[in-house]
Amino acid sequence: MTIRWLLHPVTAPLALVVAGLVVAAPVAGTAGGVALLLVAGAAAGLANSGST
Amino acid sequence: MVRFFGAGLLLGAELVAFVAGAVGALPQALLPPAARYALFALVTVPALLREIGLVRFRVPQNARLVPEDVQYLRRWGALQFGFEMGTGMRTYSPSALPHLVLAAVLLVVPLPAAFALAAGFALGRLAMPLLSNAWSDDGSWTAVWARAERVVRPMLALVCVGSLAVAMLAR
Repeated sequence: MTIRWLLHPVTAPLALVVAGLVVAAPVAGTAGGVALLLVAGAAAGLANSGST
Repeated sequence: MVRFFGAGLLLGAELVAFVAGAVGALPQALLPPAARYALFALVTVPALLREIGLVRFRVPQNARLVPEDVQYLRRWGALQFGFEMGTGMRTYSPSALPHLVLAAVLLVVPLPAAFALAAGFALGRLAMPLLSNAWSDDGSWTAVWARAERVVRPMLALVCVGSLAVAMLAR
């Protein structure tokens, strides 16, 4: 069975918040910076998508 | 088909990152950091206000619709379409965030790091059609998105700007 809430439009930005705050930000050095840039880019990509 | 579309997205986004990073090497070499960050703030503030819904203005975009038959593309067609979408210049842009990350690559993000931004952009761009298709076959995702958009767009803008800021400040 599909867990519908996982597919809801709000879930993706929430996941990015978690990825940014919990995963990327605490990582020091280059890896942390790269992870944060991945998150920033993903937010822009999602926003660029509109509804499809 | 998804793999080819995704690979195309990545290629398109990375190409833009490379070109923008190469062009941005000039201002990044010539301008002092304070001037570059000030210029970037001049782009960031209006973009953020736009995404939050406090101001309205048009962003540069390719005002061209995507044809409906694009969903029937296979392999190389999907790769080409993904590439075009990955550049962010294939169709309308409902958001100013792609322009914001482009400005970041031009002004404050060094070229090697720009590839990470581009990879993230491709991933985010790929996520939406995957979510839409997984939601249902009847196109009801569009209505769900429309209801959520007023919340989602500010969230994405804050995530994007916040992540960029922390990444730049931590350098």
